[in-house]
Amino acid sequence: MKYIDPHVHMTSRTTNDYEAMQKAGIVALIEPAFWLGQPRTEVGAFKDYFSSIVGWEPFRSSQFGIKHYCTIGLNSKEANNEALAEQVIELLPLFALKDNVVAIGEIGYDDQTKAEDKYFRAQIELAKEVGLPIMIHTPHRDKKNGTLRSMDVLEEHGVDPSMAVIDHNNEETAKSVLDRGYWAAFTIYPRTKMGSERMVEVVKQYGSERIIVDSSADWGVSDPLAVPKTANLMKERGIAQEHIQKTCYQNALDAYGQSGNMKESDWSEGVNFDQSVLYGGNSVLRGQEPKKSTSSDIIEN
Amino acid sequence: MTDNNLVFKDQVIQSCKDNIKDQAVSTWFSDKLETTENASAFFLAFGMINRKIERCPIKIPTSLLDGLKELDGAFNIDNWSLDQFCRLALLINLNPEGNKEKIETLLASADMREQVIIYKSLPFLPNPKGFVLNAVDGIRTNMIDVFDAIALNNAYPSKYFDESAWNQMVLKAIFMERPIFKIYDLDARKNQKLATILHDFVHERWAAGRSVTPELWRMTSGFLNKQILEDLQKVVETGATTAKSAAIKVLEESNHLQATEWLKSKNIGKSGKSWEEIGHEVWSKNQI
Repeated sequence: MKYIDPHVHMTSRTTNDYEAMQKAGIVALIEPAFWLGQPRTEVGAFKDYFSSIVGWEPFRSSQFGIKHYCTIGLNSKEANNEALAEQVIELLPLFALKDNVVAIGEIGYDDQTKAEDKYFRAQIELAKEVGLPIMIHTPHRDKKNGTLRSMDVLEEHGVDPSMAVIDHNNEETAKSVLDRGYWAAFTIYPRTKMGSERMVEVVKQYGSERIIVDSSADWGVSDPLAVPKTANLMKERGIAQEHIQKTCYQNALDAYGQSGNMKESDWSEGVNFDQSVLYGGNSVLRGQEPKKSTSSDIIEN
Repeated sequence: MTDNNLVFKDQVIQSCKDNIKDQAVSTWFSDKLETTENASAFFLAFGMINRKIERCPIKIPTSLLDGLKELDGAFNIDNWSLDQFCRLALLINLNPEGNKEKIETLLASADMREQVIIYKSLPFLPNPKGFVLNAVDGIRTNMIDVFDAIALNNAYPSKYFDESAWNQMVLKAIFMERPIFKIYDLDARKNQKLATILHDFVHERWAAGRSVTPELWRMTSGFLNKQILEDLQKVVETGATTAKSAAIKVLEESNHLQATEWLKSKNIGKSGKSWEEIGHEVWSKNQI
């Protein structure tokens, strides 16, 4: 079984994680631009971060045979530093059109302040301008209102719900998000968002249409194998294969594929980190084995 | 600006247009070429190529092919796709007065594919020499595609790198396990210092129980000394097939009396292989 983890912050993860993800069947992932656990104070820090998720991290990922995509955006938490936020907003058009960018995100609300609202709206407009889907981060606190408000604002700006993924849903928000026509993503993140058993119940209740499972694994205590683990649990608890395939692979591809930058052919023939030779049959360097580590005490020389 | 660059610029642009099938896209491309002196319009156009232009092979007339080969002896159209060629057109279309600032800004925010094309385009800029530090810095990357764009099949380093930058590039290519036979002018820029550093490297690897790429010996050719001679003899006697061919070839090429006599005494015939063939052998067998 192949999986996509459409929300995982690989910048904060190790090569052991990449290796485990590859072994578990993850073929592609999306790294949304977010905050790094501590606030940045200079615009250059954002520039280098964006550069790294369009350049270096895709390379790191490709060494493990996993196709790496990202989203570009100013997260809601750091939108509250207005002087800095203005400069970051100016940077975004420079990155929004990059090769592996599949959405503007993750954007939305954290504390639901005025500043957050201002930059949320500015970025919705950017997404419309460049024709990219939007990834919405819903707040941890006052979640239900924050989620409803996010959808209201999207609609105010004329965004088609099929172009927006509302992330970090729970049992309380799922129904309204699905009823209004959005993609509903669920984050399996220990103790703060959803556990995998609850996710199984959500799929039992709502089926698999427009429902997406992700890990949001980052610098916190989280699990980059959340998607394959949840898929296994679904199978164990009698959920039909079709629903598992949709929630853990196909729906993410359909939603973010709308960017034009994400296609199954990107990984179906294997992901390769040497793309320098494109044509002319010069393929001596193709087909490298994914990098591997070892679990024994003998570390390869 | 050289006259060559000017002539080829128009031909590159024309070839892009000839290869773009969709008329609307072709018009879009022509319009963008008019606006590239404005920095943000240029960045946007460069980025939009990704969306607008197909990643397909490209055909160009022989006259242009010859012209591009004049500027970059390693030029091979098979290594270029249409989107890359259109980005080349945008880059060489920039006025040399302000192209450095624009290209440096672009590099600082480039994705992998963009970095590759920028470095591949350097030999064709009207002021290639002005970008030496950027290329030397580019070599510091660990992204294989980006490294290859500078180091392999590109005449830029051979034309513009000084000896220490050149040596760092070859060393790093060997460290990154890249096929060094694809480095342009590899033999022309061999030097004593590089041969010595690589010989040290061989001993470091052997001491660690590791092997070295047989391609490496090519860099010692012409710089034989007693130690290198002994090592080559050891490789001929105990090495794997390709390494053996490489060592014999260096001994043959050396015009070193002791080496020639040793080969004769051991009744060792010619290696009979070119360095390209040896390189292909290494990389097809993945012998590292």
